[in-house]
Amino acid sequence: MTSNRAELWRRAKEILADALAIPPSGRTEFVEARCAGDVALSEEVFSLLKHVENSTGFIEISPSIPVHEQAVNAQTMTGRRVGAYLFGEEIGRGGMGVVYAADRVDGAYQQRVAIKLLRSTIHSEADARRMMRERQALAELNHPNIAHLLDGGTTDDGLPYLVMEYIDGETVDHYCEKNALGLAARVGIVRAICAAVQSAHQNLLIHRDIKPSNILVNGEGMAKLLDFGIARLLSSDAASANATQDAALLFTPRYASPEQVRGHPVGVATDVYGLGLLLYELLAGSSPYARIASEDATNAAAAMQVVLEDSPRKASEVARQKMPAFASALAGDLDIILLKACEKIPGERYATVAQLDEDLRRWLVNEPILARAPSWQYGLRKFIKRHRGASAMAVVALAAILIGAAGTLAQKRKTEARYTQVRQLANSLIFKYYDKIDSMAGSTPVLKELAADGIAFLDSLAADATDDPILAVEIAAGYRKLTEVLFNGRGMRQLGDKAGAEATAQKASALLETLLAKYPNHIAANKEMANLETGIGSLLTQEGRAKEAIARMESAAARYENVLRADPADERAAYEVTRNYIATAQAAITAGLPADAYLAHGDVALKRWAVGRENDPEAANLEMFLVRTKFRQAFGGKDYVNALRYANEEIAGVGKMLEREVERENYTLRGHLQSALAAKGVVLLETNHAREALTALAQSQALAQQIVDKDPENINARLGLARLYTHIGKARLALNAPAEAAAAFSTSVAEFNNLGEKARPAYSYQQHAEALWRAMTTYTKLHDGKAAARNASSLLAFAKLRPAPFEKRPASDWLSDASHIVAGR
Amino acid sequence: MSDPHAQNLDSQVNAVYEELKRLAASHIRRERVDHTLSATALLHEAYMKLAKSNPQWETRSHFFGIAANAMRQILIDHANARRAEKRGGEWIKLTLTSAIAEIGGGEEEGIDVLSLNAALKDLESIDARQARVVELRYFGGLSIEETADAMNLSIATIKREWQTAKLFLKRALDDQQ
Repeated sequence: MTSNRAELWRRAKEILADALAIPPSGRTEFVEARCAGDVALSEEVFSLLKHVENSTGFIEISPSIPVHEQAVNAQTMTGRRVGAYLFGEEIGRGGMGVVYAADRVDGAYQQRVAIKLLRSTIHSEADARRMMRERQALAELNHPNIAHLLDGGTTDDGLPYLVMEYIDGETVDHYCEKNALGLAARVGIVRAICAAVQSAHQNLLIHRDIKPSNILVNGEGMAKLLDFGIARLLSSDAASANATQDAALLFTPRYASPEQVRGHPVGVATDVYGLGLLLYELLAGSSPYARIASEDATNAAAAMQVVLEDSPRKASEVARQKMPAFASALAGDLDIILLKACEKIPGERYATVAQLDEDLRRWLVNEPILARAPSWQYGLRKFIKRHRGASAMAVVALAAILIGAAGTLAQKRKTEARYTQVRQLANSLIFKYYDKIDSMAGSTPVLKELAADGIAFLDSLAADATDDPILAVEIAAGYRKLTEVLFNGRGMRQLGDKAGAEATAQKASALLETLLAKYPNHIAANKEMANLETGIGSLLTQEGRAKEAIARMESAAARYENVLRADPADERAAYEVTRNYIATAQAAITAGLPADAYLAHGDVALKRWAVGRENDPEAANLEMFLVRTKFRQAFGGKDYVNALRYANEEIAGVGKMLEREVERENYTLRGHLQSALAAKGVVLLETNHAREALTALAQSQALAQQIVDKDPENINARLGLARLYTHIGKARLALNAPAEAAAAFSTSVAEFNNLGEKARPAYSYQQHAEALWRAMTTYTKLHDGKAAARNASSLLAFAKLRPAPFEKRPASDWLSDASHIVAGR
Repeated sequence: MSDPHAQNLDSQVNAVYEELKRLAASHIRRERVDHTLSATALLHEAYMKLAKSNPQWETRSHFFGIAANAMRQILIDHANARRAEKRGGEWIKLTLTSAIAEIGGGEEEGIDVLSLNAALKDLESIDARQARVVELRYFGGLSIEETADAMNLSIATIKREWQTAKLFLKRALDDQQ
């Protein structure tokens, strides 16, 4: 019995999981198709699907146990006298204890004080002595911005208490808000606290719990830091050997530094972090961590996880919503100061509070800050180095800050030298780092933001470029690079924003045309125009506008060859023209035009460029590109012997590249391997080697799934996966397994459907239609009229929506097949 | 049972179980500010203690993999104790709520841990691996990625297992009512 149930569940959950991956409207049909008349199975799946709607939050968050207050609470102290003090009303409550207002009543003198009653009891003589010592150190801490510790002792119940200066004021965040303080005034308050903390540090005392509720501002506008050293004091209260570990846990999760959360030693840098967070909240109006600000991270554990894992957002961006008046002033230096103070790794923060204070001073008087100087290269390099573990969003934060800062600077044009530096920064950001980010999985959202910021930055520069050819070329190059990011990525990645890409390419083109009208032989302008034409050519190719594409690319090739005649040592041009020939061949093959000449040029150009580059991965890349193109030509000309040879050549070549340690995580390369395996599978299928074909296709499918799992936004990979299922279906059909084939075609259709309205290349619509048609014919063969009719009507509906592919054969034939089936029912 | 690895594992589970129980009890005694004892917070705390004294935890997910089961046991113990207290009227009352109910305020969308445990046991009997995914995710507070890491399975697999297990359990709980 049990094994029957287990088997039923195993099958049901597979179908269920697949059904959950498609939109709810299509699930009923899908499940029926997959269950293929097995009533018990479909009943099981449907009875589970019924619960989808109200299961969203179900068991998503780990349980917690509320501990009810009654009976555990300490009795109130109000009205009781302890030592020289008469306890008044309770004025505060925190993790470490309860705070009462109290009056000194021993007759010596009248004084209002605050008494903090600590939570835990003293266990031994040694504990008491240690606590006394700590208290002594605190009592010696004399600074106008620190609430002074006056006295201390133990109640009759054995609870330790601390007597402190009574401050009649309100917490710093309320104070700033109520008095609508400006940016400079807020920075001024934090600077006063910095001075206080710095003086404590000189006495070897660390605060460890700096947060808005620990800073009171009195009637005269004087800020006072409370609870200095309390956490430390408490660390010595427990008798157990775990004393320091207990101390590590005495912090406020949302304000804790990463090292506190980890239980690592705290130090000066811990307070730098606390001050940074304090300033951040006062200036930006919210936490740097989105999950804390949105109260997604409600419990202590979640907050701690956020502190360890999430990258802080740029303060100016947070302010745009919470404190719009401050947003533009925060962009730039203050953003940089705040991020540096809140670095996750203590060693990367300001080394001392005095340094943080100094940068705040510099900001107030408009001097260049210290945090900025070498940090952009450093920061990005650092990110690239650890990108495997780090959240990809870190690079967005960094890039956005840098570009934002550059924009502000461009407007101010403070000094020429600085301006040039900023330009270079933007270039390296757009060129160098884009390429690295591009091959990281899961980085699509990063690219999106990077692109938007980059375009805004270039637009702001373009206005100044009219009489500066070098700048104009640089800007055009930037636009072109971003065009690639938006739609026409060289690797497997793109954002699918076709309109944005076209508009951006148009900006670059207009800029260069103006320049070339003035200086027709300007080498850099010609090269850049050639690069741009190549890019536009590639864009047009994907659009199916092959003739226009080839015209653009031939013009580009002519420009490159001209440049090379003027300067044969120009390696860049030699490289680009090689790529250009191969890409032109690709476009020609796609359009069914002769490509031999371009391939021959490509062979020559590759040899010219690749001399002495035997170990250069880029040379291997380009060679693979050429091999892939030759494959396409052979395959298109039904020359299957050579096609198989080229496919195997690429599989071996890319496989070898992937063996190199540094390329292990290179998803662009994996994408190439995946498509080469698919290509091999298709050739084998065409030559009636269905079993071998299925092996290659299965390998390809596994890789494609890996890539899609890592980065679900990778449209090319998802298209590849969808198409693979069609091939797999064909292979199974050839192996006389029509039921399995039908399932594969259905999966192919589902994968295409999953892409929804996402931007995708024109050719994919025909592939989508083919999957529907094959599903339809296979179900017909299986005498499953219902499923066949379903696919037929889907195909008809699809053709109404996307008529283009159906205007010629074979798609037009599919359409009439579908009409027959629908009419026949 | 003579497998030394298995014994080592047993002793690790025991150590975690004892530590969690001790911590929970001390929290309840000391009554921390937040008035709730989050399972994950408790696990984090136990991890910080045990990881320091016991370098045998190779990774965070290794620890949580073991701790999830211990946590499940503790929650069941609590729930059973609470059931007994309902008659006796003790001074500490424990209820399990999901954090969502906490955010929402008044509305108690509580999950009865004993019913959930029964449903999970049922799932265990037909699909042990999938039940383990739930244990790690719900009782251990592990993310999808951490669960994949702890079980040495792909993220895609864990996602599928988790989604379908949720529906299995939801159906079991809803049908009971």
